[in-house]
Amino acid sequence: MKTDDKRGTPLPGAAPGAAPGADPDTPLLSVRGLRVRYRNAGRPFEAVAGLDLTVHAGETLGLVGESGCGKSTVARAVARIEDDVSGAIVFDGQDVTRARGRALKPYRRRVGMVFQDPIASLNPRRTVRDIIATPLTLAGKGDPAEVRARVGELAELVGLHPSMLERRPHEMSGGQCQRVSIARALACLPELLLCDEVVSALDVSIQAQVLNLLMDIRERQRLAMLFISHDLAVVRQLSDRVAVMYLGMLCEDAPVDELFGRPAHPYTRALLASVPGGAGPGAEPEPGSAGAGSGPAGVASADVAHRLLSGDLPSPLDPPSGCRFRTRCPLAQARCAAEVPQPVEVRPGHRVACHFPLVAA
Amino acid sequence: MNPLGTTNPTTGKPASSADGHGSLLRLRGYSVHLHSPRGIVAAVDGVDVDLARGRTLAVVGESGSGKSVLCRSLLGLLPAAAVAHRGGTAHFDGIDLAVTGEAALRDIRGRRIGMVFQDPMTALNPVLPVWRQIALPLRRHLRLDRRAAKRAAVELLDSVGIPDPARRADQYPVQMSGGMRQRVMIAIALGCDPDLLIADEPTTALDVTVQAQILGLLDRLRAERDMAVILISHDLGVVADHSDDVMVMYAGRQAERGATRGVLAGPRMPYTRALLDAAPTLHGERGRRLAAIGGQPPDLTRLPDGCAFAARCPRVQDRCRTQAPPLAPVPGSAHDGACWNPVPVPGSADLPEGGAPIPQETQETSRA
Repeated sequence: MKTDDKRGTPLPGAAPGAAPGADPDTPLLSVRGLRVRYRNAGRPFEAVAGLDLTVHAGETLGLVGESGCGKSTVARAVARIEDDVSGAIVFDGQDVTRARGRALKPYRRRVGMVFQDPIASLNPRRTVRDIIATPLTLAGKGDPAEVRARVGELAELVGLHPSMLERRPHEMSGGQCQRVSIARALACLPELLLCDEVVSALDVSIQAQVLNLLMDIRERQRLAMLFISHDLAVVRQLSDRVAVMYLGMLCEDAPVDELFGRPAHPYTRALLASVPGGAGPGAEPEPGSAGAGSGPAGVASADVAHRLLSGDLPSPLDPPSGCRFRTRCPLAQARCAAEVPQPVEVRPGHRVACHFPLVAA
Repeated sequence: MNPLGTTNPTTGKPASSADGHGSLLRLRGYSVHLHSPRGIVAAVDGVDVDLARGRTLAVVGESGSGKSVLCRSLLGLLPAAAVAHRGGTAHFDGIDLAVTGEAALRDIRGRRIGMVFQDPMTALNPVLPVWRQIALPLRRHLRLDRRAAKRAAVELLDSVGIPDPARRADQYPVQMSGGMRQRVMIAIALGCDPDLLIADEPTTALDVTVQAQILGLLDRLRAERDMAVILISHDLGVVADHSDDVMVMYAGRQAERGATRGVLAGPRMPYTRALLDAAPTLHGERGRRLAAIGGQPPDLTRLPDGCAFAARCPRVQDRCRTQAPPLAPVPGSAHDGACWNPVPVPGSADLPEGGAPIPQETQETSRA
């Protein structure tokens, strides 16, 4: 199995993580044909039903979709905390889909994860110092003085006052707990950080602090991120590329400006049209922004797909045939029920899984 | 639309009179102090509200700003033992809510004031079919018999846009999606055709496509029924699209107040400005650092003498630390702010000159 190049030397937080596998075209993470099954009352169903994703070193891939679309399951599968997984999860050239036990340890160090609920994801009985030190201890960085120094560095990196290290999670605010989670995830200098709705539970002002923190750390450590959120504005802020999921499948995947500027999947358009304050609550009287909030200005033309969606997400227990979005799609036709649309590249780097993509002539 | 055929037709009366005399809800210096393990907390501190029929007032603020306590207190939903002190006055349609007894309050609550809570899963009773939950206030307040109440419940489910309402009426909350449950909550709140609907973060637990449906529904119902709506939200985008007036709260106090469009386009209180700047948008610059508000909200048990925002404020002056600013008209804008050193007006050209606190467009059409 792979030897981990960082073992034993707790590098200071500011040191840029050496990019592995120097070939820039080889993705750091490549997920191919991912399927994750759950059971509901004994009956299996697929929460993720065949998904391809790639994340390059230092790149942030945003993953958006409504609740129940499987985006968290993707992160959990990549973190190898889901059992019933098929397809391939390849990290830095190695297939880790079925790695177990000892073989998985280096991978666990190289991939960190931060969860949604900042307080529930920390052990209430341990001090912040213990929580941040745990991954270091598990990784065999046993020397107490070294661990102590590294915990101090990490606390500083995420903006926690040293006095906080002796506290327990319930003595801290949600934003502070999320900083602790981030420090813990970064302890072993991961190359990939999985962030599952990390700011959803935070107030706007604290959310901005945590987003800034993630952007700073990413820059300093050349960290790749899989950033999952239902909040399109947050994803846009942070991501280099964005993938949109619906009911366990990929709808669209494109560089961020392309996705928000020229969304080609009817579902992406509907999502964007649903965002309140479409004209931007930022309220700088932007000239040319489309006036009263009827739709995002980024989706300028007035075609049928801008209508708000009706109805709810269908149950993943019994997904629609063909294109899973067809039951809510304003453009659905007979073919959509018969045939599952495969992702095709409509522009360089822009994949859409739709029989009738909205590609401007 | 009104399944019960009770009063309150949609009249085309002017939506508001600015002086507060036409107000359905009128608060003056309203305060709620609560007991907490660490002492008494000024959860709501000196709030003034004038809300007329047919209009939506958005109450904005972060957690702990007092927005939910304000609304729960109005409805008498706070546990009596928790309330240390209530101050100021609260009039609902001329009735003084402070002196009216619990029995009278029960007649107002659920009948004349409806409430929609944030989490539709925990707010509904999991072991009652939804029609029985919708029927409860109808039977209690309107004395409908079981059969009439069920019929009305089905009609209400229809009016909030639930398909196949007769079948859905017999279902339990767990058989419904989040958006469907929130529609049920709204149906319960609307049952007795309330004059005022209080919606506490009604869409926070919902997905964005469903949120758009629910907010559109609330707008439509408000216009149809000429209801007043208090919309509590932390989402400035929601506020921008779905309210006439806005009150920004910080640490229990009102920071800024006025017509939504004016406040969001030209915020004068540094806190409002900072809130707007801190939120990422779909159109602004991206990839750059956000203008985060440093520090944490203040400890409500130990509020500073001066402005509660002073410790985090980029425009803080000496006076801010010693003397709390009162809410007053801000020179050069049409709204009120509580600030000694307000944000200058950027290009004052497109802002109305002082005076009328309510903007021109009164009777808003439904944005559904």
